Parts: sequence; C-alpha cells; structure tokens
Amino acid sequence: MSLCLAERALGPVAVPRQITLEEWDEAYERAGSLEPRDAGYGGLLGRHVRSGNTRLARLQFDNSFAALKLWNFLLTEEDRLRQARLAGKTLIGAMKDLGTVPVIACAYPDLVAFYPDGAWWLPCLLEDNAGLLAIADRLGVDESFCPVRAMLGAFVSGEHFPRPDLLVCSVGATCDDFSAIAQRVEGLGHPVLWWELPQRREPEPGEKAALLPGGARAGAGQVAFVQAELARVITGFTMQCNVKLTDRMLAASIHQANKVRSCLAELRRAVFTAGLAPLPALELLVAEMLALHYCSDRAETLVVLEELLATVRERTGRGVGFHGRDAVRVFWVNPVADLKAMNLLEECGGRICGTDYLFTHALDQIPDDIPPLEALARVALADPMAGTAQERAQRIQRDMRAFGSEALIISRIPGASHCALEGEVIREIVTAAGNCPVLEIEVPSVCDPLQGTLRTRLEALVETVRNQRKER
Amino acid sequence: MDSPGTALRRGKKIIFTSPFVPAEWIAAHGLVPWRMTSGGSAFCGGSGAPPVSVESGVCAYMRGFINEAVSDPQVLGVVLVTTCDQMRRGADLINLRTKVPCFLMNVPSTCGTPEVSALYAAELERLGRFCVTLGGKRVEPERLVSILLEYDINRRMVLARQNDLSAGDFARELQFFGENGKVRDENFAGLACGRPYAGSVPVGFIGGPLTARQFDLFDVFADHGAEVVFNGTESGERAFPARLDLRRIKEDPTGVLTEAYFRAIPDVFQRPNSGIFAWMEKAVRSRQVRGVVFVRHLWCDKWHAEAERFRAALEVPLLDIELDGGRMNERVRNRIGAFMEGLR
Ligand code: SF4
Ligand code: SF4
Repeated sequence: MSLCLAERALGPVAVPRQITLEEWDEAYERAGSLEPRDAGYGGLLGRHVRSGNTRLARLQFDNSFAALKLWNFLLTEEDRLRQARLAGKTLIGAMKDLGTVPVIACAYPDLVAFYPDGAWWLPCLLEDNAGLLAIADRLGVDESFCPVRAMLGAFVSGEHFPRPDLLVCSVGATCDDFSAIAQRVEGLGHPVLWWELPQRREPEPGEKAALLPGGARAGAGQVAFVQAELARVITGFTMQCNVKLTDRMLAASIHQANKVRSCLAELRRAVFTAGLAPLPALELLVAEMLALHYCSDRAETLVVLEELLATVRERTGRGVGFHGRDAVRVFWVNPVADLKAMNLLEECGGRICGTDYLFTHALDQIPDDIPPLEALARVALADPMAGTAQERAQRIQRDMRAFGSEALIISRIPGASHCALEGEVIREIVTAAGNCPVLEIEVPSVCDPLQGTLRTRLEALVETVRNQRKER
Repeated sequence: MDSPGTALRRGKKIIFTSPFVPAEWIAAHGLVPWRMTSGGSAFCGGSGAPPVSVESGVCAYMRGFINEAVSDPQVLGVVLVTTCDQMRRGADLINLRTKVPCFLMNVPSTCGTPEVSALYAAELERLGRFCVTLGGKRVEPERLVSILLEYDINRRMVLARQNDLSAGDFARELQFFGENGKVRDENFAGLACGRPYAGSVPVGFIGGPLTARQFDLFDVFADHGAEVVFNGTESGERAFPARLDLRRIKEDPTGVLTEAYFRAIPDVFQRPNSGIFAWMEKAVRSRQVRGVVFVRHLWCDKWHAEAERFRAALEVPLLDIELDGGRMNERVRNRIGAFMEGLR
C-alpha cells in the first residue's frame, strides 16, 4: 500500500503532528496492516519500550510512516546483527572513526560493521535501567567520563550487541574518553586493531595540499599516512574473511555510500531551508546517525532515507510542517545525550536549521575521482575532531549562513574531554563574527531534573532572537 | 652554541612539558629548550585573563602549564603534543587568545609500525622548521652531534643521582635538568642529606605529571616512613628517554631521537598501553616495593581509566590519588597515612 493511501487511512497522519508513543501505537493498531513495505522490522513502537527503551515513552514523534519506519529501523539493529551472525557473516566493531571504516567493511560481501559507540545513547534510551553505568562505575570509569562509558558496561553485560569478531579503533587525534574506554575494552579481553589518525595540519612549505571533504585541507603526506593506516585495517579484514579487497570493490562501496550521503544532504537541506519545518529535530538527528554505519543494512538505510525525503518534499509541497513560521532557526552543535532535548527546543519555539553532531565528515560526499583508499583517507582526516576547534567553528559559521540559522546552541556533553574548551573557542569565534546569540548548555543522558532550567535558557534564547528580528 | 644565559636574555625559550619533545633537538636549532614543570600555584600567569580560564572539565595540569608558559617573559614559542585531547584543545586556546607561537606536535598513540615511527621523525623535522621560523638556526651536523652527546651524558649524570637523593629532591633535580639541560652541581652535596632512614617502607609512584608544588607528596610519604624507590610519574625517571645510539647520530639524528624517545618512553596514552604496565611490573619487582601510589589529575581520562587496571595488575596495594590543582588537602594526607599504616 502506498504511503498516501496509508496516510489517508490513518487520517491524522496527513497533518504533520508530533504524537506520543501511545498515540502512535493506537494509530498503528487502528490502521492494522497498513504499514507500507514491511522489510521485516516494522511494528508497534511500544514494543521497543517493553524491551527496555523506556525513554521513548517520554518523547514526541513525527506522525509520518516514514518516521515510524526510521525509528523501527534504528531500534532493530541488534536483531539484524544477530541474524547476520547466524547467517555466518563476520561482525566488525568499528570504533570512533564514525563513518569511514564501515564503508570499507561494506565493500566485502560477508562483513557487517556496527559501532559499539552507539551504546553512548543507551543511558538515555534505557534510562539506565540496564545498569550499564553502574557496571562502568564498578570498573572505575565514573561520571567524569562521557556517556560512552556505557559501552564498557555493554561489553561486560554482552546484552546490547553481539560480541564482534574484530574490533577496529582509531586513535591519535580523537577524544580522551573514547581512547581510554576502548583501552579498557581491550583490557577485558577484546583485542583491538588500533589505527592512527593524526591531528590534521596545514601542508608544510613545499608539501602538496590535499583538499578534504567539507573544505578543510591537510598535507598530502598526512593523507598518504592515513591511507597506509587504512590499508592495515584492510589487511585485518582480509585476514578475518579471506577475501581480497580490490579497488573496484572499494569504489563500488564508496558509490553506494555517496548515494546515502547525497540523500541525507538533500534531506538536511530541504528541512533546514523550508519555511515551515517539514520534519522535527529528533527524526532528523536519527536520520543523520544512519549515515555512520547504516544500522547494519546499507540498502535499507537508503530506502528509509528516501521515504523520509519523499515525506519532507510532500509536506513542503503542501506547505505544511511543524512549529509555525516564526520558529527560531537554531544551529545545534554536538549530539545531545538526551534525545528529549530535541523535543524541548521545539516546545520552546525553536527549530533545527543546521547541525554539527561531531560527524560532519560522515555526511560529506566522498571524492570519487581519486583512488578509493585515498578518498577514504581524506574523509577520515576531515573528522572535525581531528582538526582545531577554530576550523570547526569556521565550518559552523559557513553552514549557518547557508541554512539561515539565527542562533547557535553548543550542547555540552557531560564528562567529554573536548567540550569545555572546544565550546569556548566556538562560542568566542561565532560571537566575535556577528550578532548571533550563542547558548552553551549541558545535557545529561536523562535531563528531566534539569528540564526547568534548560527550558528557561532555551526560551530566553528564542526570545532574544525574536527581539532581534523586531529590531531589524 | 649560545650559553643558556645569553639565549634567555634574548627570549629564546621554547617551552614544553611533554617528555616526548626532545630538548636536544631544540637546542641543536640554537634555541633554549625549557621543559616546564607547572608551578601549580595560582594556575594562571601574567596579567590579564589567562588563555585557559575555564576550570570545570579541564585538567588542572594542562591549564596551569599553558597559562604559565604563555606568560613567561622569555617565551619564544610553546610546543604541545597530541597525546591527550586536553592539550590539543589547549593549543587551540593559545592560538585563539595569545600571540605566542604554538607548535602542536603529532606524537602517535600507536607504536610498533615503521609508519608511526616515520611520522614521529617527520614531526621532528617539522619542529626544526618551527624553530627556524622563530629565529633558530638550521642544524649543523657537527653541532648536532656535540649537543646530543652533551644531553645524553648530562641525562645519565642526573639519573645517577637517584640513589643519593630523596624522592622529592630527585624530582626537583629532574625539574632543574628539564629546564636547564644540565645537572645542578653546586647544590648536590647539600641535597644528598635527604635519604630515608633504614627500616622505611619502599613504595613506588606511577601516574601523570606533577606540578612543582605536588613534589611535596614525596615528602609527605617520607614523613609517614616511606622510601619512594621509583618515580614512574611523567615527572620522574619513567619519562626519561633511552640512551642515544651514538653510532647512528651522524647519519640519522631524527631516527636516533625517535628510537630514544618515541619508541622507548612507555606511557598510558599508547595503544595498546602494555608498555607502561611492563615498566611498572619490572620496577615493582626489581625494587621490591610494598605499595604503589597512582597519581592523576582530575579530568585526566587517560590515567583515570587505567587506575583499576593498574590495581588489578599489582600484587601489592595501590593508592589512587586524584589531584585537583592546588596543594594536597587534609583528606589526601589522611588517606596517605592510612595507606602507609596498612603497609607496615
Ligand atoms: S561524546 Fe565526545 S568525548 Fe564522548 S565519545 Fe563522543 S566525541 Fe568522545
Ligand atoms: S594530566 Fe592527563 S589530561 Fe592533563 S595534560 Fe596530562 S595527559 Fe593530558
């Protein structure tokens, strides 16, 4: 059944609304089997709450089928991984690089990559009722670390993803929290293939410059170095599955990755630049996350994103959307440890028009006119975390101009090694450049106790922008 | 080569704190290498706002070092390394808020492949160019050899004093060497009186860097009847480079420095970091310590995360001390007392 028919059958779905999980489940049951194309992971959202994701019960969701599919796809990754294991596939636990290693893994017929890093969200989704943070605490990794410490708990409990056949982790110009915790994971008996990602630097005099996706530059020598490091990763994969990777296979994988990235780029552009927000912030955040590792099924990721894009286009065409035309256009920096914060921004009169969730390099197109491994080396070096906070601020400013953002929110992640100082640099540069209000907030994994304060601060930001509009 | 005194008057100090920056390489470029141990007094230097003004979530050692380094009246440039995220961000703040030239040196976290050794060696070349842009000289092979030899000899001389000095005095001696590249001859005899008495309890230290004020820790332990028989902090002998391979200095100086520094100094940031565990286990065995003191700074993730692994790896008790910038508080003193009581 087509999306439109299904929407007509459900009535309220045709009008974009944010609904609770209960409302979704009621609507779903009323609609019976009307879910469009069931790829094996569809169904009631409520089932995810029953399996422990209790935070979902406190969120507001987009009422489109495309969004339902997005959520169901995201929340069934563990099932897919277990099926892949049963089907004899090799599971690669990619760690930290966010977006590069899975492109390599996808080039092999029988490798499936996922990010154990995804456990970052578990303290939020599970409202820590699985005790992952308590396990980390017992191992001496306390709340002075960012939420990625839940990954340590997940490795110990063995309950949130299957044990990977091989762990691959980038180190060097990465955050301290992850590097420290990945070392602890290795210390628990999970061998890690470490590869080096150096701090990005400008070319030295006489050295050729390499342009990176996203606009930064690096010395050609650095690109060659990272290329050699990725070649070591490939050797590790080849030893795991006994398949030799060719340039052609890698180029084909890059081509598929770029399809996902272009679809997502179009989705972001369409959402950020529309007069009325055609998709809420929360669903767009989830969509962006799919670009990292495709939730262990790249072909289906593209289907999910294309359906979202179709919904967004359809809504924009009809001139319908969320939050009213006067919603304040906010650029958001860093992922939020509590997904609820995205809803909260909208309740306070804001909407997301631009993001840097620390993985912009996973969204940019991968060059396809240079040797494929070199292209991936350039992507890895484009990681915002591998460069300076100044460079990150410059890109934020550029994107803010492109998307017409009116305010900047820097969302600090509790315990994260980079946040305190990086936030300072970004705030100072953006503030110095113009009349754009900047707000720094800290969002813990469950922000309920702070909700009042957060709301007041977000409302004040929205008010400031509205006053500025009047003055113009 | 300028004497340190002449060079300092011209403001030629290249200030760093990481043990992975070879002082002799900077000296060979005609500038004054100054391995600064943060004083740790006020954690901000000079007049006006310090570049690192935030406290929450920020390693106090990094904050103190950067604020003191950029406000040193003789600073010509600062060298930071990429071994921790906090230092990388510190470099951002130096560049944003000061005019002090800052060189961020890539010190790889992985070791064991020829590629990362080559990367470190290439970074030395880049550091050399940085020195030249600040008015340093290009390296002349003859001068380089004599400087490398001089440092190598002085380093052995200072290390040889370990058995004649108390742990606190030895740490101060190492600090002097880090700043001046030579031993403190004139005071040597006087310092030698600090040796512990017979019957004291041997303990070892492992951990991150200590500020000069935190050297008091050694004295507190001595007051409780401890003899600190190894200093595996970043301020101690653990962070000393290996002996230089004198046979290869002429044809491959950066290769020799890479071997002695990058490949020889064990540290917690390395992946995997089995080298530092091996270093500690060997030190514990050979010096027959009865307890190990693990020191780390608040918000230093790389050391913090390993505390429990160190504890598990040891057959003797471990005391985990978290330092938060200032002097030791009463609580830490009491814990030290209780720990030493338990070792007797
Ligand atoms: S939130 Fe920041 S510190 Fe934590 S794992 Fe992610 S990048 Fe690292
Ligand atoms: S103590 Fe830790 S956080 Fe501080 S500068 Fe050293 S390694 Fe970095």
